[in-house]
Amino acid sequence: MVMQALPRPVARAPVTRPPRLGIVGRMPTHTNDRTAPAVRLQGVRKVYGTGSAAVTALDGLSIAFAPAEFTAIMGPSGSGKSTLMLCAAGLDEPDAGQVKLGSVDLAGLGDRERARVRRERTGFVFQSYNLVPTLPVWMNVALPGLMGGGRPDRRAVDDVLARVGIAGTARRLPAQLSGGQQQRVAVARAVLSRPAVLFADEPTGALDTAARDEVLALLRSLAADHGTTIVMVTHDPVVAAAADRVVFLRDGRLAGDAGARSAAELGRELARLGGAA
Amino acid sequence: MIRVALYGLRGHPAALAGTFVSIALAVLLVTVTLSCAIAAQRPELAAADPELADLATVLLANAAAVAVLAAAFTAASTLAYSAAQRQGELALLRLAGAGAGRVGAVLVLEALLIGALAASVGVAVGLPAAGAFAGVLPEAGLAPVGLDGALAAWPAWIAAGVGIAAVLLGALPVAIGNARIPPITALREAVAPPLRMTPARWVAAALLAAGALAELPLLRGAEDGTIAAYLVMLTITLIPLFAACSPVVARGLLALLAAVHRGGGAGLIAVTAARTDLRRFTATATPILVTLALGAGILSGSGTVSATLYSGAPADSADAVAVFTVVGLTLAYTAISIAVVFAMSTARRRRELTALRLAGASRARALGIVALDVALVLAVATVQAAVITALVVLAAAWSLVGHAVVVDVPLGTVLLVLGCCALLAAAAALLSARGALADPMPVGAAD
Repeated sequence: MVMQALPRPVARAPVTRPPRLGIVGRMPTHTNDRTAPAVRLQGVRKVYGTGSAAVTALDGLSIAFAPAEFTAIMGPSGSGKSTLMLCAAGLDEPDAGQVKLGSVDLAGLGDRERARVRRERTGFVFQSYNLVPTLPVWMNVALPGLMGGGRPDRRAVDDVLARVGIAGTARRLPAQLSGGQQQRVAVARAVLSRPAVLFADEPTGALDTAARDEVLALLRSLAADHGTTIVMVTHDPVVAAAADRVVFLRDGRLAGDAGARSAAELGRELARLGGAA
Repeated sequence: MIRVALYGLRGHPAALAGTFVSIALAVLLVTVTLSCAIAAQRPELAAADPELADLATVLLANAAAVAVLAAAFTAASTLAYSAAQRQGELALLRLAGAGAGRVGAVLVLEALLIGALAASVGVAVGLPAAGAFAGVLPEAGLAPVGLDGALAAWPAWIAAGVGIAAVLLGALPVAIGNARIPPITALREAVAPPLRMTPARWVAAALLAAGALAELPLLRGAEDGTIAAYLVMLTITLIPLFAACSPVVARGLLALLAAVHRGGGAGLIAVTAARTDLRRFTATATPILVTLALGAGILSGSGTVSATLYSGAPADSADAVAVFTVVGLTLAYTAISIAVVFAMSTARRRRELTALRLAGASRARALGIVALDVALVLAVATVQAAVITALVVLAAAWSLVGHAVVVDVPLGTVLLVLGCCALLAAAAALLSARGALADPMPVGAAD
């Protein structure tokens, strides 16, 4: 009763969520500065292999992604798309340069703290490796919270599953779902845990056009409704056309950066850079 | 068809390593024990001290029998597990037009090839090992002097045959169970069907239960000196009975644990993953169940008989030595199987562990979940072994009617065995998981 007398907090409006990181020694508190980028790479260099077999995947790349921005990353095969995403997400360590998620510099973090960042700030929608094959759908959705040590709220999970259009699948195993449904489970996890940044690698890779459009719409609404920053790697111009911003990479360097464009324009640009994927 | 089987072997070296190791070790052990047992019965040795020769033969033949049994169990469970992991590949064979018979034949052929390879290795190592063992046994007072001079090579061929027979015994039910896999499985993501009590399992369980019941009248009528031997037989019947029932037993025990567990977090994840992947769970639990139940069952049975009939002092100290040797050899043998099975099955959890890491598990947390899984396997195997031991002790009491029965369970020894199992399983699983968790995460290529 008293609750209703209180002014309702402004829902949806704040783009950045209150800090949930709690007490972590070396991790500064999340700032509420809307203008600060959600992800920022500065002079990031990554070389795989050594000697004559060395491949420079990222060559001093600097790029920033604003809060609530939906960015597609395109480029020919070997241009450094996936490496950019792995480094930005803290899944791979750059050889040089700085990666900041919000105000957190990833370079200073140990494995435990990185895991906490993954749990509380980032989400992933990959073609594979998204879902734990031995856990039912509802546990996969609730996994970040479970890993934090909490007992999951089944009601909330069911609500989210209904919202992404896969109500009634809670007790199934990922392998018992279609590819599109599996991608939606990954999106449902992101809706429930509301990460500040969602990384997606070919999130619609194995889907038919109807399922692809639905997953893209879900991603768009995550950015619009929850202020989630989305960084999506794709080789498909139609998929990239759904983004607010399209970044092109070639040889580990920035080769283009512009606002939303049509699939046809993107296709031509990609062809000009050499190769469709 | 041989070519298909060869491809299968080449494609899954790690998957079939558990089968290979268990059979090679069994053939090695049988080569050593059987050649010594037979040599001890050579007239020139047996004439000098017939009792000592008989002791050596009984002791060594027991060790050989136990090794073969343990090998058959381990081979059966690892073969079943690796076939379950390869549903997609087997379905592809069916999709390409292979009949059920052909798929079954490929699985049997594969097992035979592994068995033959393992048997050759076992014999090659076993022959020189038998020479060394025959030199040591008389020094320990367990066999007539001159044993090494009486050794023959032919028992090694029997050992090889027994090893291949054991692998066939394990492969046949797997081949029958997987031959009729629907071709459509190839088009979906390959998932092993959940482990269930198949009709074959029910039949095996019913036969073994009938066998165990049939041993009871024999026990009741047995002379004092042979009760311990019948109890060993009962233990060896009860172990495969429990292994055949493992789908229901393990499922039930895990469901109980899940119901008792109120918290969330790693415990919930570990229990749920174990219940989902019951095949992996029982494949890892089987060698531990065999080890614990053999050790606890045989020692408790003979301990209770000795304590009741001879008030603690064993009738014949050589008997105690014999029992210890049999159990010791078995444990040494199963220990290696435990390590191989855990390392192998954990390495296959790479995908699962990577997904957990992506969802926010630190490396330590992921390893913690693997460690919890080991604890669950140990708990389930221990409960089953405890029930088997209790049944053996009850049977001992029943056969000793008329005596004031003194139950003697060597708890210290059993706990030591359990500790060794736990240490080995945890070390193998965690080292293997550490390898599977190597950074960077296997997401996308270096693109």
